[in-house]
Amino acid sequence: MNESPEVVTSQRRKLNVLALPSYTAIIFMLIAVVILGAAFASLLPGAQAWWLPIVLGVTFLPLRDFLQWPDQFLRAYHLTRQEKKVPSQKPNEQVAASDPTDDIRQNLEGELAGLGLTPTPSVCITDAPVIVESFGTFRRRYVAIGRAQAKTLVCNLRSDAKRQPHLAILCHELAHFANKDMRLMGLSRSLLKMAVLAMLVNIWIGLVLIAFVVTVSPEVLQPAFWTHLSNRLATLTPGMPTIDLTWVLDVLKHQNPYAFERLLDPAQRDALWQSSSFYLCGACLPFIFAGLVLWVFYWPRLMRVRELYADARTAESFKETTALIEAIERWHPLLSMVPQPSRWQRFQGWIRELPLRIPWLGSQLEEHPTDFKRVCCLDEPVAIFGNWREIGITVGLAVILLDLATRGVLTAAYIFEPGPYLPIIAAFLVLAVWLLPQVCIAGQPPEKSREKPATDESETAEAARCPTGHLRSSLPVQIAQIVLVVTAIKLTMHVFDLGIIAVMQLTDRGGWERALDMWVYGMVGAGSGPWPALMGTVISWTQFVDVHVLRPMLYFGLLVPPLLFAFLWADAALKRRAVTWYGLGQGIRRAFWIITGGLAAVLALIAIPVCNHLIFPEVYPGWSAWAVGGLALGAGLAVGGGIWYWRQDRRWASRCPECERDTTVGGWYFPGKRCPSGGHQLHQWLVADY
Amino acid sequence: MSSAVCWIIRIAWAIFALINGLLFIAGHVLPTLVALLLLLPALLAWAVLLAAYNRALGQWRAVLVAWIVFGLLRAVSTAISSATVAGLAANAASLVVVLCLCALLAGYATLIALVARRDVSVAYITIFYAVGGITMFWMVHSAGGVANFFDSLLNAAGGNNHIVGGSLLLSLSCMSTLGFIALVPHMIIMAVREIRGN
Repeated sequence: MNESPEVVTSQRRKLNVLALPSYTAIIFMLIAVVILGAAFASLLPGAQAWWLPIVLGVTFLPLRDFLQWPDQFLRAYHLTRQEKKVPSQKPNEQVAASDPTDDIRQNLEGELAGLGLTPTPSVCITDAPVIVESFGTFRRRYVAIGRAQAKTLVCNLRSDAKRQPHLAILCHELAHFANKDMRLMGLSRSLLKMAVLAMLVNIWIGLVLIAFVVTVSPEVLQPAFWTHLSNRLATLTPGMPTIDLTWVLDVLKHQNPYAFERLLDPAQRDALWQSSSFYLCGACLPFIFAGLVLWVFYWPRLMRVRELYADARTAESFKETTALIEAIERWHPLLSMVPQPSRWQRFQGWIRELPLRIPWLGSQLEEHPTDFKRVCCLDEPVAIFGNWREIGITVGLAVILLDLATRGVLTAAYIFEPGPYLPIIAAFLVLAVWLLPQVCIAGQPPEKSREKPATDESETAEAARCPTGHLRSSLPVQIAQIVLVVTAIKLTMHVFDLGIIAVMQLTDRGGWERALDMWVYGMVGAGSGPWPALMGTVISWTQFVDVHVLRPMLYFGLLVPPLLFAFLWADAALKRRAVTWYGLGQGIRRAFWIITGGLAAVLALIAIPVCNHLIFPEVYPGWSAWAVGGLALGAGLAVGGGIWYWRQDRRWASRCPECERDTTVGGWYFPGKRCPSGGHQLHQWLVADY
Repeated sequence: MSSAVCWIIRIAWAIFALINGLLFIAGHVLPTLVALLLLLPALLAWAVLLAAYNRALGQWRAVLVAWIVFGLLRAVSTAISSATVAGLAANAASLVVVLCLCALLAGYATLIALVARRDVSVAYITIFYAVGGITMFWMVHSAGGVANFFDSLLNAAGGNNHIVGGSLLLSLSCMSTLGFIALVPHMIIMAVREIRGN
């Protein structure tokens, strides 16, 4: 035999995606970073916005909404929570016959308890149009089941032939709790909902209060008003000493003399109203826009991905996929049992489904993956992560949203051109985590060597269409493709800027100059005018286009792509090597985070500052002590990290933990790889059990 | 409801109806002090009734109805008191004022019952800020300035110029107070429920 022992013993297996950072968590983190990153910017000392409504609006209110969600759900579907029946105290009262619904409920709860997840969810039976749906919070867990579906489920669970697929349906719902995606879904939903609502209310309340203050101030800020009020109060309490209220005016003046003077003057009313309302809208509108985009595109994706993870967990529990695939097929008969909806419900459903009919966009708004996608992901779990195009668009859009949210009035005093830190670091971290499963399978033998179950012709044709094409391309090519997509999306924003400037030039140039002045003064919260003109006098249009559009395009179009590619490639290469530290076992997960964290630190402390100084010398004129300190720290981290990696590599690389120390396992890792001498499965925890 | 509670409710209704009937029929004969002293058990009976019907009161529709009724009674009492009336008509005017007071108490009771039964604290605060600002703006504007607005508030006859605005201000001020008071306790209750997992 010419074949090496490794070729004989190692067989490609499926990757256990449940052992790696989940894509659901990645999407949740993107949502949280975009909303919370911008919200916490309001805590910065120069933000000039009252932080309380903004910070509470995106922390306290979402948490409250999330905790209330199960109750809202129970109310909406007229569900009742499980109630323990108290036995009758009166001896002569006949015991009522047991309610069949209770029997069904107890039966299903027993089945759920048998699946081994604690605490077991409470089962809610409903007449509302629900098939099987799980919902809950951190510790409160419910599974809502339609009455007809519950009866069918119980009947089929009693039949030996039909039990497994129907148990898989229940197991899939439990998997949402086991995967902890229920809380991620609920929290992101509440975060987006409350961020948009709180900011809309904030704008309304702010505008009304500004209008009120601006209107009444010329009267209230006069000493005569407080004297009149003191006299009026004195007439109400005859015989009592007079209360002098004139001190209030001094307190108000002392608090903000600049605002006090401007509020006193009725002539400045309009300017004050304009600048204050502009500042308020500038602070709140980015949240609303970013929240809506995230709600429309990211949240449905999170919902789709969590279903695929629940499938993976179910298959892991059953140690095979047949029952689950059968369950996916049996879902449709259960769907047909949903009671006929009322006219109003049909109308609501029609309205809801309207956007889903839009080509391409509709598939992005779907909250459930197609059956075909589900089966494909069971066959190839890495397909859960989608392809390079999807992640490129996801990250690119998040980068633009982060840019929009953090370059608003709240952080104008802190983030200068080109403002790359948060977007680039976020993009790097997300892409590095996304690439991890690809790194884990990168060493696998070619597709032909993989044993596949016997399939007929139609199945082969379907498998050819299975969205796993990304697995065929190499890692550097994938990274390059993703970076190019992110860059293209980022540059689109600047091209859009260029278009707007062209429109400004071709239309009322002088008017646009005044509008831009107002925007700049509004960004820095300069209060009311008259303002000295900036555009056309202090800053020329050429300078504006150069600094605001052309050089950022140069930065993000020519400098950032190779930088991002280099760091992502380095991350992937280091991790690919780290996967061969077999002796470290599950400890390599920590190593993955150290590698990504270290590279992110080097990117933030060395690479980005150097690029900033290179392209924007007038914004970053010299190397401050902080910048030099950052460089030194970054260099220290790079050297320290390098030494740590080298030592770990020498100690653990290519060594089978089960065999003697000197046994070397050659080649890259792939799920299913075995030790050539002892035949032990390497990184068993990275191999899916189905 | 247990039979004891049913009896208490019947007695409270009887006391409330009897005293108000008595005040309507014999209000102009009774000395003022006696009439005022009679109001005390009537209001006590009303308070018992409000407590007994807390389930029905703790709903948004009840809040709306109670404050609309209060606004209407306030308008009627203002209209009657501005006209010169005597005899039975004067008693009717007094009765409307008493009923207006009862409606005000009922309005407050609905707000308390609702916030006690359901976590509407954030809704209360939001409504206060969203509607309160514009109400104040409108009232000050229509009064012709802040000083005039305060004057109209302190002056009974002037204050009654704002039937809708006055009712709104009374309800909104109560809403905001209750909203801020109930915010933290409700959050604690939710956290406890979450920890207990029920």
